[in-house]
Formats: sequence, C-alpha cells, structure tokens
Amino acid sequence: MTRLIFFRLLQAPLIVFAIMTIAFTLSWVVPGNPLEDEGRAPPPEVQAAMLKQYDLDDPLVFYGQYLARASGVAWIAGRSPAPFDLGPSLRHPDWTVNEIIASGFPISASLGLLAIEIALVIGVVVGVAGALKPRGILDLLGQLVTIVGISVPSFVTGALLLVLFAAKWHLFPMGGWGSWKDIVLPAFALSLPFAAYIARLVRFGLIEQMASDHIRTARAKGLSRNQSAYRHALKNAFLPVLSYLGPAIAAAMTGSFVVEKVFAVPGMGRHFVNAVLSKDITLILGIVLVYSSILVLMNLIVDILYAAIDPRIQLEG
Amino acid sequence: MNTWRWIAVALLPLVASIALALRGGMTNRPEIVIAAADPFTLDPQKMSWQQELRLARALFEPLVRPDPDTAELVAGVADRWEHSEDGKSWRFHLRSDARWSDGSSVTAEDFRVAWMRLLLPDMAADYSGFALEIEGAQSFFDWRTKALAEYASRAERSSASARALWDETLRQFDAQVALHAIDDATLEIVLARPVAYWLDLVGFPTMSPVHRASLDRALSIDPDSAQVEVDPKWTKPGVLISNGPMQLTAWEYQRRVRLEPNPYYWNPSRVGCKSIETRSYEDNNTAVLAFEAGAIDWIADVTVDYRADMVAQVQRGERRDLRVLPAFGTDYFQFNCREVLPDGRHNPFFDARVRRAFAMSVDKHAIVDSITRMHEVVADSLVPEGSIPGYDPPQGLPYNVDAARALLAEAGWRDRDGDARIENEAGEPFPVVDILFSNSSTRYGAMGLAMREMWRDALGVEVEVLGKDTKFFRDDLKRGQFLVARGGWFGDFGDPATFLDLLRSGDGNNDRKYSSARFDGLLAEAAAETDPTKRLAILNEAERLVVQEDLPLLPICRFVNVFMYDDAKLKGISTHPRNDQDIARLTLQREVAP
Repeated sequence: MTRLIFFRLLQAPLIVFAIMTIAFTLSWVVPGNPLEDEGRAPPPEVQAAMLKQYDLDDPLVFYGQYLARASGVAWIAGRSPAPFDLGPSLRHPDWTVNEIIASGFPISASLGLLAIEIALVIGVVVGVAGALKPRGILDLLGQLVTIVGISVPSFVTGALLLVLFAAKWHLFPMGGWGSWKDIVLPAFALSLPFAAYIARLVRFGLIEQMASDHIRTARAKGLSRNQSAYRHALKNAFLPVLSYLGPAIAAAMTGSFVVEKVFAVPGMGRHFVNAVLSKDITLILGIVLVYSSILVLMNLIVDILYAAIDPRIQLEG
Repeated sequence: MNTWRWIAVALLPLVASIALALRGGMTNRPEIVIAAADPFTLDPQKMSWQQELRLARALFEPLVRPDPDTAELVAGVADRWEHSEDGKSWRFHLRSDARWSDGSSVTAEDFRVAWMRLLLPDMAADYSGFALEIEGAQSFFDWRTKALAEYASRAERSSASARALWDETLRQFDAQVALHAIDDATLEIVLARPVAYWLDLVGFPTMSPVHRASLDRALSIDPDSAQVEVDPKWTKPGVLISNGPMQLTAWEYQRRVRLEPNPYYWNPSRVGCKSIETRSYEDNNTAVLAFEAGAIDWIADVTVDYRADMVAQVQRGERRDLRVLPAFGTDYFQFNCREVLPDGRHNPFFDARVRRAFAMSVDKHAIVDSITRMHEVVADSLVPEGSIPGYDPPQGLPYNVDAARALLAEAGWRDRDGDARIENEAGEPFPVVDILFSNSSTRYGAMGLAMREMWRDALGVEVEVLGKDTKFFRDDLKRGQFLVARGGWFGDFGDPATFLDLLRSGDGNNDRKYSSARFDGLLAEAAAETDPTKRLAILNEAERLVVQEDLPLLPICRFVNVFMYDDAKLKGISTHPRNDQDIARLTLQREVAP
C-alpha cells in the first residue's frame, strides 16, 4: 500500500505535465492575440513589443519560462520572487493568476463539495429505495427523478430554481455571492446530475448484490431482506459509486460554467470559459493545473479507499 | 470508524472551503447597486471599456470633465484655462483645493507623469493617440519603441542597464515633449497641430492624473525587456489613491467593485450617495430577475433576448423601468475594399459601384422594426445626428432597389443567361457573398439572414451568413478574409473625427483597408483649418464622400443604450447620447410615495 502511494505520487506530476502540455498546445494554436481586445488596436510595433514582453512571440520560450515559474524551479534558481508564480492574467492585467485562483477556487470548491454531498444523500436514498423494491412505486418515482436529473440541463433547473425560490417565494437571494444563503440554490442545481447518476449506480449495484451468493447465505442465516441489504450488500454496491466519486468531485469542485453563470457566482468555471474565449493562456494553464492536480489526487484517494472497503482488491503500483 | 465519524470527515472540507469562500464577503449592503461588467483594469491610462471609463469618472478627475447631461466641458481639477490664437498652446491652472484620497495635493506634475504613461509603448494604452497630439510626443514614442527593440536585441541585459535606459527615457521625455509643469498649479502644453477638440480629449478619463508616490512604489523595470511594469496590487483597495469624488473600497475579481466618497474631494456637493457597487452578472437574465427582486437598482446594459418584448411592454404602458436611449455610435456592416482577397481572388467589392448597389438594396426600416425590434433610428451616415453641436451629418444613399440594379449593371454585373443570377462579361457568376459576424450575440446573425434575403431577391447574388467565434472573427477581419462583415463604432469625443478617422488610410482600425486620397486629403485639410465652422464643413464633405460615393461602410442604424431602472427612485442617470455617466451623483430613494 505504501509502495502504491509512493509510485502514484511520483506519477502524478508527469500526468499533470502531460495534461498541461496538451492544454497549452491547444490554446496556443487557436487564432488570435491574447493581448488584443475588441475596439481600438495599438500600433503594430507596440503590439510586437508586448508580445515580446510576455514571451508570446515564441511558444517554447513561453512554455519553458512558465513551467519554471509555476513549478518553483525559477524561484529556487533565484530568478523569481515567489515559488509558485502562475504569472499575470494576459487579459486582466490588474490580476495575477494566483489571485484569480485564490478568489475563485474556494467558491467553486464549496459549491462542488456541497453539491456532491447533497448528491450522495439523494442518490443513495433514491437508489436503495428503488433496489429494495424494483418496479415498485418508489422505484418508478426514483427512476423518473434520475432521468430528469440526467437529461435536463442545469441552465434550465438553475433558472427554474431561481424563479421559484428567489423570485416567487423570496427564500433565497437572486444570485450573487457573499453569504451562506447564496450557496444553497447553485449547489442544489449542481448536485442534480450527480445525484441522478449515483442513484442509478446504487440501484443497479444493489440489485446485483442482492442476487449474489453471500447475500443468499446471509438470508439463510436468518437476516431479513432489508438487514442483509444494509449490512452486507450496500458496502459492495457502493464500490462503483466510489470510483465515480473521484472524477465527480474534481469536476464539481473546479466549477460549472453554466451554474456559475446562471447564479452569478464568481467561480472557476466561469473564469475558465472566459479565459478560453479570450485566449488568456496563463489563466487557462493556471486553472488546468488546479483541475488536473485535483483529478489526480482524487483518483488516488479513491483507489486507497477502494482497498480499504474491499480487502480482496490488491493494489499494485 | 462509525458512521458519525465518516460524516464528520466528509463535512470538514466543505465547512473549511465555505469559510474560505465567504471570508470578507459579509459586508453591509451598498446604497446603490449597478449591474455592469467587471472592469479589466482600474489603471486610468490603460482603460478602454465602457464599464472602466464609467468607474474612472467617479474615481478620478481630469483637468476638465464633461457635464453628463449636456456633454459640455466644465471645470475639473483645473478651474480655468487659456489657449493661444492658433489653438496650439494651452495653459491649465489647477485649483488649490484639489486633493488625492490620502489628503495630498493634486499637482501639475501628477498630470505630466500620467500623460507620459499614456505615451510609453510599454503601456500599450489603447488611448495613447490622445497624448500623441502633443508636440514631440510622436518622436518620443518612436524613440522609446526603437530603444526598447534595440535593448531586447542586446546580448548584455541587466537591471542596471534597464534602469539606465529608463533614466534616459525620462530625460528624453523632458527634452522632446512640449508638456511642462511650470509650477505645482500650472500645466503648459504645446500641440503638434491645432486640435479643435483638444479640451474634449483632456476631459477623457484616460487623461486623469496619477498619484506618483504610490505609483513609484508599484513600479519596476523588467531587466529582460527594459519595459516598465506595474505591480497588479497598485489598483487594489487600500493601495489605489484617487482624486475623484469617490475612492475604491473593494474590488473582487468578476464579482464587485465598491466605491465610497473620497473625504478629501474638493466638491463634496457633487457626491450623492454613501456607497455604490457595480456587480458583475455574467447572465443578463439573472440580472433582470435580480432587478425585479430589488437587489439591483440599475442595469447599465440590458442585453437579454427578450428586451424587445420588454420595449413593447413599455410602449403599452405595462412597464416603466426600461429606457431605450440613443447612443453615440453607429451600427454598420463593412465591405472589404482590397483589390485582391488574401486567397488571390479578385474582390468585386473593390468597385465602389458594387458597394453602393449593395448598400442601396438593404431595407433598414425592416431590420429595425422586425429583426432587432428595438426601433433604432436608421442610419445612412456615420456620425449620429444631434450628437455634435454644429454638425449635421450628410444625407447618405436611400433604399432604392432599381437604382442598385442599374449600378451593378453599369459595373458589368447582370443576368446574362436568364438564371436570375448575375454574371460578369466573362460569364462568371458573382462570387458567393459571405456575411461575416461574431456569434457572441444573436443580433448580427439575425440581421445577416435578413440581408441575405434582401440581396438575393434584389440583386440576384448568392449570399451566406457566416458566424464565427470572436477570436476567429477578428482574425479574419485583420487578414482581410471577408467580403462583408459586421462592424460598429462608438465615438470617444465630441467631434466628427472620432468617427471619420476610422476610414483614414493606414489607421489601425481600418480593417476594410479603404484608401482614398481624396478622403485623406480632406481630413488633412480639416486638421490644418483653425476656423471651427470651416473645419466642420470640410469634415462634412469628407463624410459625404464616404456615405454617398465610396461606401466602405454600410450604416444600418444608431446604437441604443438600454437601461433598466426606476426613474422615480434612482436619480442622476444621464440620458444624453454621449453616455458620460457620473455615478458619483446618483441618489436613491428606497420608498416612493404611491
């Protein structure tokens, strides 16, 4: 187990580097100049000087410099004042990428974590209720909810939640950010697709488990159907959910553009899409760095938990 | 581990991240909330967007400023000024009680340093052109550009040599540019040519002064490129020192900007509220809902798809909180005027007759009444009528399909084989006309579709609409890879030149590459003319040339500002087309007697 963690930690930077390089290549080849906006254009010599200033005239120099500063190598070499300097935002000259991530990430992370926890509660309850009495009233209802949760896009559910809970009943504020009340509606809107997916995983997993040999043994020992489900089957039925949770947490924590846009939440999802649209390469890379690091980390945690839940699983590096 | 412990473990990161996300977020509600895009920068010299300029007018004060209701220039930091007969030498006298938000005096040197920043190529200021009107400014700009390029090619680069270049730059500025602080209260300027609208330029927010002491602390010189760099923290609350009626008390990225009165401002009667915030709503629908819930007092730009329906509600008397106001800008499409396209094909729109024919076969009334449904004022000229005192834009080409067909036939394009499509003498059909637009808004796609039908029916040409992402759209424009493209321009100052310069040969914003010696000559002639009436007459002739004969642009309509606010509650919003809003003077009455 320790060896596994050790090797995975060694792998992690390589995976992150590979993702970053792909993201950099893609954002570089998109046409357009990140330093230029709509409206008035500065003279060509000035544009050329600006490109040079940011090393945007040469992709290899730019990426090399960027990696050196972002990884802390430049700091160790004494060429940069701070260890993990992700550089200035190219489109928002008054902000560094570090500042933008520091302001946006906690917001997206709290929305995402709350959404995943809501999704777990809803998903497990709906899934178990359905699995214990397949094709019963509760199951049909649950299936309907999951289909709606998966297929209705969040800009629809988000707008609906706003109109009902904020505009009509005044229970929650009308978008924006600043108090705990602002978290509830967007987190709920964000949780629905995750909840639906978890409910399906739990339901199918549990139905399959209930038909397996060890549950038959448990029933033969005299446990009731519900007792055997809770004590023995649920744990195994949860395994697919666990492997889904890794990427799901990473995706939820790094922000959903749609939900953040509808609820006027200044989170990472919004910043990322706007960065891509304006070719703000340093901001794109900064957010990709955070996202890929979390993804790698979450997958590692999930693998460890997997082994803890199911001792049959032997993890090799 | 028991279940409760698992739950505790699961909740811990959530609680921690919520605490982190909400830190500093619990502030008292500001008196007035405006929904507006987040500024890209609060550095006055770097600004160029509407939302930035609006904040700048509250945060900073130039020597003079436009009255928001009349666009006339009134005293700002300068309480009086005089100029020479030929309009080239100017002297501004600063009021003695003008103060920065830290209590220190605003001096002439603060303006000189600010205007020098505009002129530094390293700043890449969008509005550097305003300061380039000063005698010697262009040569200083060129000198610095060359010096930076020379430095970048040196093998030997160090902090010391970069610093030396900076010191030399300061000396060159003193020696070359005719901009002098005679004493703390007097600023003297000699212009390279008489600029009829110089006072308008001086009153523009990018000509605001800078607080030198705080700027000096934030300034550094990059040893690699010798360019000056400003620490991004310079424009953050607590660091940014401003001289306008308001000061910055909060700025959170893509969330809100908060302004509160500057206690040292010389004219406190100009300030109407104790606190004001602009908040960024990415989704305009949410902003409209928030306005209706009372969380926002003014939406400075209503862009929702259903705004035309709201306008109809206003007309029926069912709604009173939406105002559609004329703006200082013209919405147009533009023709590529290059002789040869980048792919080597001949460009039929090189012929002005073809451009005129296409312009005359667009029914603009149909577009504003049934496509945009905003009933904008249709336009056949570039400068909006009534926006510049003493200037009436010339009459452009009318909607006349028969005349358009005749023009095309004269240019050699007519239906020669009876297929209802026009061909040239060689029998080649007119190339497919792509109408290029950026699909960041639905407006131009819809306009393009309408124009496609109009041109197909009236002229017998194949037309396609081509929507692209903004970056690709701009790239095509710059490379000249288009036949017809969406355009539009807002004026910056109260003179026709703010529009006509767009069409000057070699102008950085002339994407059409329209080039007419006659037009350029008229602009040059106007620039040299010191009599204001004669000058405007020359500019009128220049505009007549482009809207009657050469048609590099196809004006569709005037832009509108669509505001959402309750005018019984919120007072102080200007309805003047120039939209020089003074948000510092806004006042809000929460409860309105029925």
